[in-house]
Amino acid sequence: MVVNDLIPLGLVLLSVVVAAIIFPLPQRVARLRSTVNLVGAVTKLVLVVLLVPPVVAEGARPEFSVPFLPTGGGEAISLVLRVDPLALFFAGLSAVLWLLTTIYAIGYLKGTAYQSRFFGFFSLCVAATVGISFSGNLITFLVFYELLTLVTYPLVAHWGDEKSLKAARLYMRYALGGGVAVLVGVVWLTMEAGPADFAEGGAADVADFAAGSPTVAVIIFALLVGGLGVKSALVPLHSWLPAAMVAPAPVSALLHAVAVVKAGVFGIVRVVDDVYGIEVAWELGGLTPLLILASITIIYGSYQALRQTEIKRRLAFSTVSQVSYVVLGVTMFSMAGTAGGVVHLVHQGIMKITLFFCAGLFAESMGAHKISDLRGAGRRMPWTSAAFTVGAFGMIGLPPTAGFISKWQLGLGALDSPHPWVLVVLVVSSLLNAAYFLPVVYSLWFGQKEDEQDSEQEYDGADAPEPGTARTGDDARVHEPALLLIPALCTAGFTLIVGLAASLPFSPLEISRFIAEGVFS
Amino acid sequence: MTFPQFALGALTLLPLLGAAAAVVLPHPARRITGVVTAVVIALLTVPVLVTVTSGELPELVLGGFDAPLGIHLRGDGLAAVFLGVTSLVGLILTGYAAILPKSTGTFLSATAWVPGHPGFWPLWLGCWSGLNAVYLSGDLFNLYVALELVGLTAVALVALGGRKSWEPALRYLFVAVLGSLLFLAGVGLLASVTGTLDLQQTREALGGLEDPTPALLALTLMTIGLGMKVALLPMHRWLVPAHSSAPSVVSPILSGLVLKAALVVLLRCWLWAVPVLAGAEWLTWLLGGLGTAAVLAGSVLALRQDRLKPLVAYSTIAQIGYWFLAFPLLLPGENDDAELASGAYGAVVALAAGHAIAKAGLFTAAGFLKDRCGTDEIAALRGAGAHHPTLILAMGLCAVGLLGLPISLGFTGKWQLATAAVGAEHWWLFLVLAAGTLLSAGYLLRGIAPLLMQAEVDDNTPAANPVTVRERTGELAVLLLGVATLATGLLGAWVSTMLEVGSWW
Repeated sequence: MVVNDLIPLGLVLLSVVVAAIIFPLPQRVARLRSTVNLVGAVTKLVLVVLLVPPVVAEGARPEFSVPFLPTGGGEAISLVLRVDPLALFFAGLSAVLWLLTTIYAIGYLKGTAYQSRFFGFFSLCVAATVGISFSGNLITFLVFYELLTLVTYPLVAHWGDEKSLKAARLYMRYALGGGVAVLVGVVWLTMEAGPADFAEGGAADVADFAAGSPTVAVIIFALLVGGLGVKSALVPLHSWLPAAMVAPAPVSALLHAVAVVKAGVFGIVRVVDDVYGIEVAWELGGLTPLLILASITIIYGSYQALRQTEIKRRLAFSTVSQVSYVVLGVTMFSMAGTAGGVVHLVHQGIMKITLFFCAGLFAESMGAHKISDLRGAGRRMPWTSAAFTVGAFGMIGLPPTAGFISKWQLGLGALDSPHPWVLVVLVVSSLLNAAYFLPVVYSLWFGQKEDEQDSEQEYDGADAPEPGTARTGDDARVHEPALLLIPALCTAGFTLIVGLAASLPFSPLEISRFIAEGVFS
Repeated sequence: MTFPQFALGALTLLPLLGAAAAVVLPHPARRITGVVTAVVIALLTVPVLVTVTSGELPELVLGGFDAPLGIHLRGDGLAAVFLGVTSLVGLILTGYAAILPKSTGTFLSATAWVPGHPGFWPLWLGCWSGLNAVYLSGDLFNLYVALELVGLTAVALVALGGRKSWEPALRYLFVAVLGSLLFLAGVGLLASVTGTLDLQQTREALGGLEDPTPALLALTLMTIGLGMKVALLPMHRWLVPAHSSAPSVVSPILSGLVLKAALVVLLRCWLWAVPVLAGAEWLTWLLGGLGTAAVLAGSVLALRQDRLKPLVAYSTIAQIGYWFLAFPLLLPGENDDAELASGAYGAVVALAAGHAIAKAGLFTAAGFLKDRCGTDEIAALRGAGAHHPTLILAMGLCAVGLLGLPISLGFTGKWQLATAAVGAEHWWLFLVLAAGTLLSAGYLLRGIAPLLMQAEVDDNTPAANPVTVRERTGELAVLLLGVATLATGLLGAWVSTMLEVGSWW
């Protein structure tokens, strides 16, 4: 296939065009809005899939650039969009999940107000994500990174009540603060070492600069990673994430699986692997503190998740913990570890989005917000519960799910790396994961509703209930809307397929191994 | 005479002609005159921009009198950038005023106050003529005359807002006249030393002088005078009442364009008229310090406002501060790093140009809401977003520019300033930029977020009346400014190549 240099630009603009069509649409034309949305999402997915063979197997690197920022006298710094395997990896995730989340959101928001605004910003959010994935240098990355902050604000604040606005403000404060730190880091690095084009194994200019003045290089590294750490919810910069759970369920799903949190982690991967280069970052001593921070985040996030009683908050803290696996992988300084971290970008995305889809379904169909509300839900919503179970097993890391592949790969990496103790972190965290997910799964399938237990206990003392009134209502199947259920089942299916077919060509694991080889080349 | 040369002359004289025609025409015809003039001016800007982009410097000597006596128009890079911005913003605002005449003020007709002031059209066209003349003037006296024209028409424009705006207008008049007088005193001092008014000749003559004292004194006088007109803290008190009580299409003109005229004159004085002086360093540091204070104090004061238009006006004061932050970097210092100086200069221009577009959009939007709801109290505007999604979107886009987030000229400007700061190792600048950005995020959110909220009682929202087609079109004008805020963000590299034409170095 002939690969055109305009393809990356086209992929970014595709979602912008969709947004531009959707914004002015009046509320009532739901069908046209959904059609535009879905056509856009499918087109993007097809384009990304078509890009995989030439980029991964044939080494094509389509690139689009336009001069952007003037420099003092010299050549202007460009906005660069380039497709490399890592970029494609992330863009593929966003393409798949955009399609599914759009379907889900159409079902979820049916009949509510402000849908055009919602889907418009939703598309812009995806445009920002694609831009982030294709960014060819730090400036371009920064542009889309800030754009992402702005377009997710209206999504978090979507319901427009006090609580949403408060959460959105908190989110904005954290994100902009982090954005400023990244900006300062990027400006500084650009002044010292030029525009820092992403390159497999690190940018040569940056390596020279780091050799010359290691202290400054470390400070800049800390600024960049610290700023990116806000979005990726590294402890202690994570408190915006649980608060942002007030957003509509599809937004939470997208935020956690591919957009905001992932953008932060993806940025860290880029900085470590493609700007500094893993060797340089290791020699500077920047990796070990980050590794320790990631370990703390993993354990702390799991511990907090264990303490939550609300479903969405438990999932939020679980995200805090799980996303740091990616950071853990890329900072443990071994090829297998990097592959494990990178593959978890995708694996965590599909598993977590399954869980969020299900949480939304439970809330919509049964009004279940607390974990205790889920007792016995397996009988009333079997499909949703099955999907949730798959996602939860994935998070724990049970075979044959995607999570098992990630953790196996990370474990291999840990043994291979200078830090074998990381294995302990993995084991402890898996135990904690099991501790907060297994009870939920248990009560889904085997739990009984509280009032049932109560009524059984009080059965002989109190008046006998009218036969067949209370009990049938509880056990009856609840309608699971197809538009919401199908995406959840799809991602649950992917969780299994990706786990089972991990060694096939072009599977996420194979691609991430390929990327890791590039990093250590 | 080539066409670009003709365009230079026409750009200054045509709006004046339009203003004169508008005075004698009946009211409805004034609107048509205004729109036609605006379109022609915008078209005439194109050949100038094209010529400057190709690296040539269009010049025109009016009436054949050469310097030091004649009127000398120079379309250099600085002029071209501001001509372009003014034409863009001016054209959109003219369209807005023509569509929604009530935004041009109120006037007392027989017994009642009637919305829509016909006096707007001649005044606005006269102001535009003055703006273009400021950008293009090549000598100090013409700068003074043009600045005076801008100042007086601006005062009159404020006064169109009805009785409540007369007091702020009067205050503005005092400041404007005093500022002009101080500037004129500086010009006179320079002319008495050098014997010429032409910018280049002044520079050459001053370069040959032994004693820098008169030049330094003149520069100080001119800087104070222009500082009053730009409303640099602590000379900013007149701005907030004037800009917030002006009619809703006038506020964006004042905040977006009129302030830039004084800034351009200031840059002309510092960079073109006066060579690097031995004692001027403390003055640049003073300006940098005042700029810092303006960024911080302006933002904090904006955060404390309960009404939308004063909030936007205070944000202008904060943004003005950014332009002065660069002054300590602007003059090549002892290490003589001209690259840094040109970077800082590019930053000031990019920030000011970006501000012109973004602030015009935000002020128009604030005025629109005030016209429609009868109040601009933020609490009362709660939920207005439900009825005006386009407007809110436009405000968001403008806010991106004011925040200095990518992609906007505001970002380009901050980027250039930050890189120049790193080069000169002025780390404090970094802190000011970061603090300013975060504070501005705070006040912009404070202004815009309540509009997104659900109103407590839906039908009670003042914005709930049916929206007319005219108002929808007006909203589109604001959206155009918002889109322009982002689109111009891609032109940063072009702006900096244009600035090299006819620059002082």
